Amino acid sequence: MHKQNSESAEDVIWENFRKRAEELQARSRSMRRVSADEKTRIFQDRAHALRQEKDKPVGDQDVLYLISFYVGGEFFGIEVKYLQEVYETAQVTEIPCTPDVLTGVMNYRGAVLTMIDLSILLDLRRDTYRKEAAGPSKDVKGQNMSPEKVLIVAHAGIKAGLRIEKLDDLLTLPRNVVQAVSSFFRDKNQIVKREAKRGNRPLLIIDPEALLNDERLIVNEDVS
Amino acid sequence: MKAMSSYSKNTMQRKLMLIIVLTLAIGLGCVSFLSIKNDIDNIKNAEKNHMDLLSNVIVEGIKNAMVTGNAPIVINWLDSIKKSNGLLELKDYRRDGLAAFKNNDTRKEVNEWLGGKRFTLRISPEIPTPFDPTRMEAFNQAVNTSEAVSYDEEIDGEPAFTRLVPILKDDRCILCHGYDDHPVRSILQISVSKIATIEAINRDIVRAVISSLLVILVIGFIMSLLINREVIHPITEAVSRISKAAHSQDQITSQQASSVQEITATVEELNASSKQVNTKAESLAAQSQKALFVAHEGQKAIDESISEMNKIKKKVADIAEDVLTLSENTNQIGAIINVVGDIANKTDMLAVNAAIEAAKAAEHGKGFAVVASEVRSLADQSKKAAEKIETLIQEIQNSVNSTVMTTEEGGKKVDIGVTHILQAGSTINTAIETISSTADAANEIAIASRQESLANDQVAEAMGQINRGMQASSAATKESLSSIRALQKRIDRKIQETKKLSDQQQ
Repeated sequence: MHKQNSESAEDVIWENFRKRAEELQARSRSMRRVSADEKTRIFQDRAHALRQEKDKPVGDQDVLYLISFYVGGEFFGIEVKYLQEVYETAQVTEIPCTPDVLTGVMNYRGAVLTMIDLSILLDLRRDTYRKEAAGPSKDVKGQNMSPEKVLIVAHAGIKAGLRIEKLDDLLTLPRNVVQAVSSFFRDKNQIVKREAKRGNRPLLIIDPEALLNDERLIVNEDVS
Repeated sequence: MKAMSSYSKNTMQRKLMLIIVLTLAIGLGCVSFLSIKNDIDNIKNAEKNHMDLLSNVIVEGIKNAMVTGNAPIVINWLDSIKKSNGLLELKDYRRDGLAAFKNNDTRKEVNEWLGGKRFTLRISPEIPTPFDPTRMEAFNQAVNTSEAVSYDEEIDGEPAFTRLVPILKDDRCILCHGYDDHPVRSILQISVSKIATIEAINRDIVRAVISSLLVILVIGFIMSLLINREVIHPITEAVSRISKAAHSQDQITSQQASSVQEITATVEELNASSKQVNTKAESLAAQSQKALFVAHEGQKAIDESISEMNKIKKKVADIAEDVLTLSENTNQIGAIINVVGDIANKTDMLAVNAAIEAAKAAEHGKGFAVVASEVRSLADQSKKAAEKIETLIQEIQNSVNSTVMTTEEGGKKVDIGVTHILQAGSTINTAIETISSTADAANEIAIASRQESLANDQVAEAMGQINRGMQASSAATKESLSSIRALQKRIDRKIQETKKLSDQQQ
């Protein structure tokens, strides 16, 4: 009797296993199909998003279009009108006898493009940034870390690539929320002239004109 | 004990005394008889010689007197002799058995022979007395044989020795008695009293008997003392010891009897227990056979278990292989998911760039900006899904690794189980050997106990016989003890008598 009981108990266990396996199989099959509720929800969300955009009563004159990103743990923004493209490259070729700010050149659609390291340019502590950057970069772990995102900035015929750690979002900010940075910051650095509050963080808006015309970017060295 | 010993002592003494006295009496009696007989013969011979002498003297006297032809002298002489002491009868008889010299018959014959009256006839002849008619045979014998004949007789109530002596005719007689041719002239009867002789013999006998009795008494007394000291005392001691021994033997016998009874009881118990052992051993043998059967079944089960375990091992290996295949598949999924992530990333980039373009287009690009935002969100979702899948794949890989390890462990466990089962198999083999040897031993025990039971029966029987023998022996011992007691009593009495006797003698 005992043996039979144990056998029947084992039978029950295996029966449960079999049921679970069948259920899992059925669920995996059903996962491929999107249920009607799911569809409804997706469409509703989309409609809501569209409605929100339309509801915004803002004129072009009063609005700034910004791309926000992270470099060296700091939150930066740059106006879309100066941006040509967000590009991704896996290979950056370093050029000798150039300042550290110019980290190298890259192949941008068949053309050679100079790349600028903002962290050096803005005198951000690289170590700190690297450490801090390791935090948010965890979210994208497993994805291609090696290819770096590069913001292709163009102004007045000068084109350069800004190496960034992480792309944040495309922002639409009213002009009135943008204000000038503190005088201390302005004296020290000509590149960041304005800032805006984004949540609880300050969004430092980079002036591409000043950036591209920075004297540190001018290479004037002879190599013997 | 003392009483018993003295008791046997007295019996012994008495018997010994009896034997000695009897021997002495017989010996002395024989000696006395022989000496008395010799004396009597001597006396008789002396008497006979005496008689011969006397008769010869008288015959010669008669003859000499008769030659003179003077018969009256003879008659007177004879009468005078006849008066002598001890002589009971002295008579002369003619051949015809009549007393001589009484009438005139012979004178007439002689006168006739001689012619004339030479011899004067008696004036008053007496009538001759005849010879004792009862002794005529002896008389005739003496007449016919011409030899003396002797016999004993009783004359006037007095024992007498009588001799008939024939007076033979010689040359001198022919002168007067020539007419007679018979050699015997007459028979002279001489009877001598035997009283003296008998008295002498009696005196002799009395003397012999008295002396014998005296000797017997003296020797008997000495012997009694000697026996008492040298024989009876040791014998008494011996009897005492024997009595003791008999007594202790009685005790021992009774002890032995009780021991024998105990042994008999023990043997019966042994018998019962050996019968129990027999039954138990037989049932043990049967159970051993069953156990052997069960053990063989166990052996078979172990062989089956080993094959099943090997199957399980193979299955576990199969599971490990399947799981590894699953891991490879999962890795492929990972690769696909990488691609998906890449695509999502690129899509994101494209969406960003599209948004940039839309922003540059200002009012015209507004709708496109919405689409770009939507695409970006989708890309983001894809990215997140891919990340999730990545995590899941990691987990799956972990699970697969642990599953592979678990299956490896399972395989090892199966190996251990196989080892254990092999051990169990060897244990069962040992058990089989042990059980079979147990079965053999049980069979042997059964046989041995059966034999033991038989032996016990025999022992019980023998014990019964011994018991009966012991009882008989005990009875015999008791009997001998009682007889020893009786003997003791008699000896005691005898000793007392002997003491009294010796006291009296002293």
